[in-house]
Amino acid sequence: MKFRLNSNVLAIRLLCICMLYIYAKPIVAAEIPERPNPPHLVNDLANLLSSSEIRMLEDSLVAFDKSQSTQIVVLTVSSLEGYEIADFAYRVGQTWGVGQKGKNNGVVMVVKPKTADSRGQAFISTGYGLEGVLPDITCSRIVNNEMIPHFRENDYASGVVAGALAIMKAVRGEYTNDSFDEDFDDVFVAVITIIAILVLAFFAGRSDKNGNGKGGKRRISGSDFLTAALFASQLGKSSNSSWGSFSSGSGSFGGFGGGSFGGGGGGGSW
Amino acid sequence: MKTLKTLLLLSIAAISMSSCSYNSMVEKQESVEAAWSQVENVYQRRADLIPNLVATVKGYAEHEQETLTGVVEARAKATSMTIDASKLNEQSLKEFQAAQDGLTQALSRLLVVQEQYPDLKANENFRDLQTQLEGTENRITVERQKFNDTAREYNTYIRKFPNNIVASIFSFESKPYFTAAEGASTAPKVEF
Repeated sequence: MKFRLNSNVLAIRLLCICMLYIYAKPIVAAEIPERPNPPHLVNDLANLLSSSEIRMLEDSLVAFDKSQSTQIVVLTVSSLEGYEIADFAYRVGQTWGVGQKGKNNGVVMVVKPKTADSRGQAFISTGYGLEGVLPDITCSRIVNNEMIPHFRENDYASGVVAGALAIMKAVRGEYTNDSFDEDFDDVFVAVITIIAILVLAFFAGRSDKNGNGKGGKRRISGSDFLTAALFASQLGKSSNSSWGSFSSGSGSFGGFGGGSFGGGGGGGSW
Repeated sequence: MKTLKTLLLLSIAAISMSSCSYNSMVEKQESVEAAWSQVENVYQRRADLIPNLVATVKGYAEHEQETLTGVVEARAKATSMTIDASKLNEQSLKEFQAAQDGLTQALSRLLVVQEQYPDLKANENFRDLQTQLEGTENRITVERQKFNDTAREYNTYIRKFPNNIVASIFSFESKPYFTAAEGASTAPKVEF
């Protein structure tokens, strides 16, 4: 009898532990939206945008990510799960790893629509690397001046697009992008081409001089100049084609880069 | 002969294992110190905002001299406290936190006071400062949290067996944590 009682107690304890596991897990999972798989930059969890609006916004944000390497995430949620919106946006950025690792150039825009019993809130959270181009004041102004006026009229799509455009403008204004290496290659090829033309022209002039003997007139013969020009164009062409294949991607978002956030940003409510 | 050989092998294994964990300890300690410097950075950032804030408020709320003096004094106290990352311990962190929390409270008193001055609230400069201050408080929360996380990782590592032996030989000491001060974790509510 005694043994039976003990085993009952044990069973109840085990059950309690099991229940703890079962119930604790969903609570943890419900805290912050999970990183979307496949990754998307526009995550309309509150269903505020139409599918065509989402596609358009996603395309322009993906293009922006490709050209500037800055990742802007747009996230709409119907509930902040009890978090302050700044904390919520920071956690999303940090756990999803928005932005490139090392550059930390991610932005997370969170919009929580106004409902009958709660006010609307919006926040732009910036990665460490963007705190210079998107200081808190800028973020707060973008939210309050560009986005909230649209939100007040229940036009979420316009507000989100206006906010995203303003962020892109701010980032483009100052932030030096990834294309530094390509720029360098461009300059490099141009310099090589010019040197090649000059060298060829020089030799062409010399050979002409030698051929004419006492003429002493340094001039570039037509055919040799043509060779130089062809050579130069060939150089340019080969480099162009290799970049062409590099830059024309598949058009879909490549994934989050593991950027880090420090709690910077600004927002507002209505 | 055979026992000698085993002993030799064992000691080589022990040394190689401990050197491995020693290196990891150094790395983890370095990241704790890096996290600490980030914490000091964001607190410094807040301190840097205050002179400007006080000057702006002063122009509108002359009668709040006491509150303003409180902020200035708390700032002076907070900025005088800096801790070298390698000398971080329970006591020094506690003092540091007490000084910073004092400033937090003085600032929140100031922000309650501003509610009584509509002109001040409407002032663009003041609103910008307030945004910056909010952002800085968010950063402080984040960096404190990150510091606690790295410190926890390091502490767990040096307490595990057999790392704890290596840690005690090379005197790796556990790092303290930030604790949420009573009433400080929640922002003061403004009643109307």
